[in-house]
Amino acid sequence: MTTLSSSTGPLLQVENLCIDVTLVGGKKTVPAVRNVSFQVEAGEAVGLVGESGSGKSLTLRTILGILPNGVRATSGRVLFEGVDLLKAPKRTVNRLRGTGITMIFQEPMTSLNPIAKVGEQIVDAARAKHSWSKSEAGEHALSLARHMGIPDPENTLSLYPHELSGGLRQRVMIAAALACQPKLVLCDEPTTALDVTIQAQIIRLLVQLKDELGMSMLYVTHDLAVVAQLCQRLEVMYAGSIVESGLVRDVFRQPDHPYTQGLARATPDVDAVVDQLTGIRGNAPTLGNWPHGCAFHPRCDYATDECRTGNFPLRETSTGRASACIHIDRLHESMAKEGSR
Amino acid sequence: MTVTILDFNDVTVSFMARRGKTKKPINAADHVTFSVRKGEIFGLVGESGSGKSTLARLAVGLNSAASGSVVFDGMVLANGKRPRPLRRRIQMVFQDPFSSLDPRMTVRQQLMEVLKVHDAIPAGERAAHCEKIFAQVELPISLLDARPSQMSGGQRQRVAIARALLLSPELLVADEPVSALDVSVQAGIVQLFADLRSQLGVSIFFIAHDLAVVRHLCDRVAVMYMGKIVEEATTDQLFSNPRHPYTRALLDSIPRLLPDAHEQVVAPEGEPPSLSRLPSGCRFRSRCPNATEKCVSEEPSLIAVTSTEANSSHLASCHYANDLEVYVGRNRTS
Repeated sequence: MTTLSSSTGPLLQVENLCIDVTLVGGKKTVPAVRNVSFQVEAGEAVGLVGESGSGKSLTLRTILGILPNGVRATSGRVLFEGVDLLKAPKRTVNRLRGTGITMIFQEPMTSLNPIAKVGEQIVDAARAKHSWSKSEAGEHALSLARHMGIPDPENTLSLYPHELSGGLRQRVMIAAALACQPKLVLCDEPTTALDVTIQAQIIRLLVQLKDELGMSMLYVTHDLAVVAQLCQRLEVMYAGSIVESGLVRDVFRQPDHPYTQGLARATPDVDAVVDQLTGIRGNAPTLGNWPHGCAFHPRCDYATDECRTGNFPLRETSTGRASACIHIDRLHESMAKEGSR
Repeated sequence: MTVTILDFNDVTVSFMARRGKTKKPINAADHVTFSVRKGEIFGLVGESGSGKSTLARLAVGLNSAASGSVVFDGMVLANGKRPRPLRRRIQMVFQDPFSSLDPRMTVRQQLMEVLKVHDAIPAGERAAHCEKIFAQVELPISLLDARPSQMSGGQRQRVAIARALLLSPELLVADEPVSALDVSVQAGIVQLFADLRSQLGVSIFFIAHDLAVVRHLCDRVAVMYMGKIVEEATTDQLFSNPRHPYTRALLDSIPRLLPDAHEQVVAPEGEPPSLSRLPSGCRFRSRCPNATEKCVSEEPSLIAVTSTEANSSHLASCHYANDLEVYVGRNRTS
């Protein structure tokens, strides 16, 4: 296998990615992702955070080349170990699926085959890339299942997906995804459909797997708190663009974008009570109806006339951090005032 | 003496579960007793399958109780279809505003239909009443002629709340009304419920799985696990001094918005058992870090927690509710 890869450079580098969506009826095409750039280093976990319609899931799907019909990456590059996946021949991309990049989906019930035993599905995933015999792959599946904390694996692997609980199904999905030792795992809200105690178990499992196997993770979610548990860095998306980027630790101490601040404030804190829960006023813009200028300006407390027109690319605010907001000083000032009260 | 508006007295709700050729009843709610007081927001929390929605649906008459009684404002509610004047007094808000509204009718048509069916208001005053309620849920009047597909999730949920409020109910049953919404609009809906209670004095029976939302909104909370209430207390007591291991496990599992949270992921062991194969004794014992022989042999009942606060009614169904060590939240260390 040819790898242009180098010891230098990130494992995954997305550059100026733009994605268009053709609306129902096929007449109108609107942007869904605009000039998105970010990278994932080897061994790193990056959170891609945004609400519904922000373009986070489409960005994730582009990487694996599994965009739905009517959705197309129009420009930009997706470099995995130096290979541009948007331009690479299908064969190359196919070879990378499973061994290089893999994906864990939100709803294991719709991603697993309902009429195949779950053990077979892990075996199939392993045999797709390795020239293993059935029994070798079976051994591998069993050891994977043990590793995933699946209780009584010999018995559980001979069951069908509908016979398993949501948490177990998700463990099976993760086992199948990791069957070929991928370098990068894409996660599309894998815990959103789970109960909170099971979510905590799956998060703990992912943290542990990441540390043990040294794999990289790109984790899409709407939940900032889940990112806090799993990721070192995060990228915040709003209306198809990244509006803030930085280390989780830094961003949570002091956000550099009013949207990130609003999102953190809107998340109710279970350890403290506030007099009034503040959401972000208005509603997130829908596809095709993005405001001009900074897309967040109609909902922003700091917006000025300047925000209504023009482009607001990410700009470095301090080492390793970037924000698309031009009013960071005022944002920080008001946060400092609140903090001192 | 506090006045209650809704009482569940030893209520059991059964469903027939088919396993192969045999049918066997399972109890989605199992001998449950608690009350919602007049003018309060009462939260019922639990994970999927705990029975919380079953009780919400029972309150509005969408389920039947196998035994026990549901009492609304002093009246025992019979199973089956309820007379219209009674239905007016208890209204429901469902979880998913995408499926609880009619996609082919404008919002105005849907609201007017409710008023027409119940004939609670003279025909001439109905339009004005719709607009008044619309303002109450903080929606622009222009949206009255929109269809649900033209609205965002948050707006749709406000419409669903408006529809429930049209008949000036005394009790609002809200079944996970914010869990399908984006975080940035969820806070606004939670605040709306709080405002409606203080402005209209309506009592709210609020079902949720999100403890953080409950903490911000509710006066009292009950926690359900596998069809049983495991703990009931005022919100302050429940969060500051949880006395059931399951409540503690729930609290510990919630991901926190903290910079170094990844260093302290806490997760309880095991999965909830199946309702058709419950463990003997305490239902939580298979996942409980403190389980003993007594928990295997003897099912705990709700007992009063000896609390420092006078006049409190803090109940927990754990043999060791009063012996557990002081709860230190996993993030209280710093």
